[in-house]
Amino acid sequence: MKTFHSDTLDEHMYYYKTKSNASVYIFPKPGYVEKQALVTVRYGAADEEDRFPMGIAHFLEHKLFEDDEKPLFERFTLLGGSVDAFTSQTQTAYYISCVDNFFENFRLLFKAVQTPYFTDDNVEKEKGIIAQEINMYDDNPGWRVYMNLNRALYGDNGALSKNIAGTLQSINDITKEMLYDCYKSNYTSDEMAVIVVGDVEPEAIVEAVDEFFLLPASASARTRSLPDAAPVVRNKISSSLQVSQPIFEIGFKERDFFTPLGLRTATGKVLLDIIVGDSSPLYERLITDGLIDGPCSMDYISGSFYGHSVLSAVSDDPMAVLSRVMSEIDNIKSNGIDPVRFERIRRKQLGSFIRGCNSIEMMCGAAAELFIKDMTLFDYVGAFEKLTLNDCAARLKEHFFDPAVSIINPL
Amino acid sequence: MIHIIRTRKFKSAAAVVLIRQPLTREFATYSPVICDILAHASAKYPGIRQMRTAAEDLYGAAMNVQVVQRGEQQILEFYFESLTRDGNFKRGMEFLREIIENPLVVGNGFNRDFFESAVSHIRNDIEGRINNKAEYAERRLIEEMCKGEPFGVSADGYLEDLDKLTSPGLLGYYKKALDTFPRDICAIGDVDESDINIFASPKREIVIPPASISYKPKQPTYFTEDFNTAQGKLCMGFRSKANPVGKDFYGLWLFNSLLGGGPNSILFKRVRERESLCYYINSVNYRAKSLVVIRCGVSAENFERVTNIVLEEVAAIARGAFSPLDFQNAQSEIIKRLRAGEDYPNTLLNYYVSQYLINDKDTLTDAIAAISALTPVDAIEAAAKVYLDTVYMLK
Repeated sequence: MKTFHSDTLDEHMYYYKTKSNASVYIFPKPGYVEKQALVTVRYGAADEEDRFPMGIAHFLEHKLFEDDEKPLFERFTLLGGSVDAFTSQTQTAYYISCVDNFFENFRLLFKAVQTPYFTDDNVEKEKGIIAQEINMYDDNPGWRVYMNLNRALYGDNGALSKNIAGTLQSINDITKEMLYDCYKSNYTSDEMAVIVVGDVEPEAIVEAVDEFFLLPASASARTRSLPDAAPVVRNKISSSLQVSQPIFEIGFKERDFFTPLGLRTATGKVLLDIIVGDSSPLYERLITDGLIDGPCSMDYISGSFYGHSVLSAVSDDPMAVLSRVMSEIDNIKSNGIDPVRFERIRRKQLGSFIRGCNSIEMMCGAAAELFIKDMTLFDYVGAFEKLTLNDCAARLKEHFFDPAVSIINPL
Repeated sequence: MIHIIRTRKFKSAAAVVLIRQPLTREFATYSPVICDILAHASAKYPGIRQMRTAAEDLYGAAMNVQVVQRGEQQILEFYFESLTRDGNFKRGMEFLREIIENPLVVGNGFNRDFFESAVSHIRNDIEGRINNKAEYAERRLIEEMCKGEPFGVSADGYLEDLDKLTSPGLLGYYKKALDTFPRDICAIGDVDESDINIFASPKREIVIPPASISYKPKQPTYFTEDFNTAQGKLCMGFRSKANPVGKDFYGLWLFNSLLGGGPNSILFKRVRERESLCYYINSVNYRAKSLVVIRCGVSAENFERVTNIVLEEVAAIARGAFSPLDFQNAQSEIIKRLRAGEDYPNTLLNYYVSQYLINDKDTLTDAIAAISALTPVDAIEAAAKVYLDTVYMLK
């Protein structure tokens, strides 16, 4: 077991690799009453094999909590714990939180994840539930605008363009045999991590993981998607829904996969904030001219094989916002980044992440997402600590061009 | 009220300043517009950039001004959170004071540009409520169910009132608010009273009556709106006469948890797990009004079926037809959530403020003890007293 400390976060991290090559990250939080534990597997919608219908990763997540004994949800509650799970494009994660009986809950989490129990009946029954989930997302403008941006950036068949939950048709084709097959080929220890956050003894956690974690490593190394550094597939996708005003996202696709992911993330986030963050001259003009009403959401979305900076907002005229954003980028490219603003925004991003670490829930979720990207919480913070003005100036030129826009218009 | 929850457990300190007023149809639209003006400029920070830069200078501080409805009160809520190091929090409180007490005034009104853009922002906000169908459906249920009661008034404001607002009228109203509306400050973290005791007090405070609880059993009223959605939203509003403070309230809370509190609840297990009709179904308890609202995303053709199941299950609880395990699950779920609350600064802050607003002296520990002491009889009694008042369906 290795120990790390971050002065900036004032947190310790313990790292351990099991005999079967699973990664274990432990963040002790002295004085906290709640404990969270998460098991994640590097397998999400984008990783689904062609032999399976779309949505199988998510379907598996729904069914893994099924057991031949009494419902698992109930067993966790009786131990004073609660359990939940989620599927993204790149991972499937299962997590518990509890105040008492941590090790009993922890053991049960491993049992749930390691004991698939699928029957024709329980698979059939789940289809109605997932169909409702798919319909719910179909009505959600935020989700639709996000998925359409992925299609614009990566194409209709791009790995990020698959519906995580599948379609009403594809889920109908899923059988228990497929679920077993999918589980066996993908839930392998070398592609999995365990994260524990709370007032715990790292040695005791490691001991428990060695006892509870039984899945074998995969026989051969998994093929991973290759980085998609091609130009954007479409510059604009529009669609309509019952909304009051157009909702839009603007994305800049990653072309440079040699720059480390941490640096890409830090520059992506800081630069967007410099360009259109709420203390920027552009933001003030957009508000004053009535083009937007409030702060834009900004992020750098990334994985080992994809990346894009994205900003989203609501506006009566998204194309006008886009053209303002592009001319502001040109303007900063030619006049340079104000060093005072750079430093202020770097510290703002850092400060907001440090505050986030008040929450064990946030730490647990972020650590899982970063594991999928071969990073840790401390790498992430380190990227912002080390970030320089020159890094940003270089990335501004290399990354912020050829935008794609996704718009959801009112009906 | 000035209150500090002192702790060194967290990396940051947070404070909330509340300016409270009774929620009325007549003035409902004033506060959202005022709030938007205050969030963008003040006398010391006369533009958006100056104001946002000042916030950013406090090392990633979070600052938020919003209008919230609590019971039958409409509250202007100013929130600030920053790392405790380097005096950021103390400077943040001074920043908040500037925003609250020294708005950007020109002549006898707010700055005209900020006034006009605020009116347009609030118009877009109100029209934008439809963008989130689940929230919209729940809001519409409350509007229809509590028509004529302050609780049914929308704290987000009304489109038809926006054109009637004037900048001097709003400033006059805000001055009255500063002079007479109760103001409360609550902070959490490693904070000194001198950090937060810097805000002016109202000259005299109006008295805000507690929310009224209306209880007149009747046949339910049904409303349907058609938006051509992929998934329908069903909201069912039940009324109870439980006292929002004391054992009555804890009983209703437990009933709510038993019925639709989480993945162990009776509705989740039946409507989702057994009958595969939905992805989500849950219930929420509006404490101050003693309401229980069921929310479900479900195909429109199954509205009637789910409505009937909900009524059946409420009646079953009232008959005591639930297992000891169901009861135990409901109880331990609430207790777990209360105990874990200690780890979340905003949960602690909110808990304190809610208790204060409803005039309940119970601490988190008291609440845990009270929930632990409940028996199935309390859930039965709570269920026996609710009736279905209104159903709202969006398809």
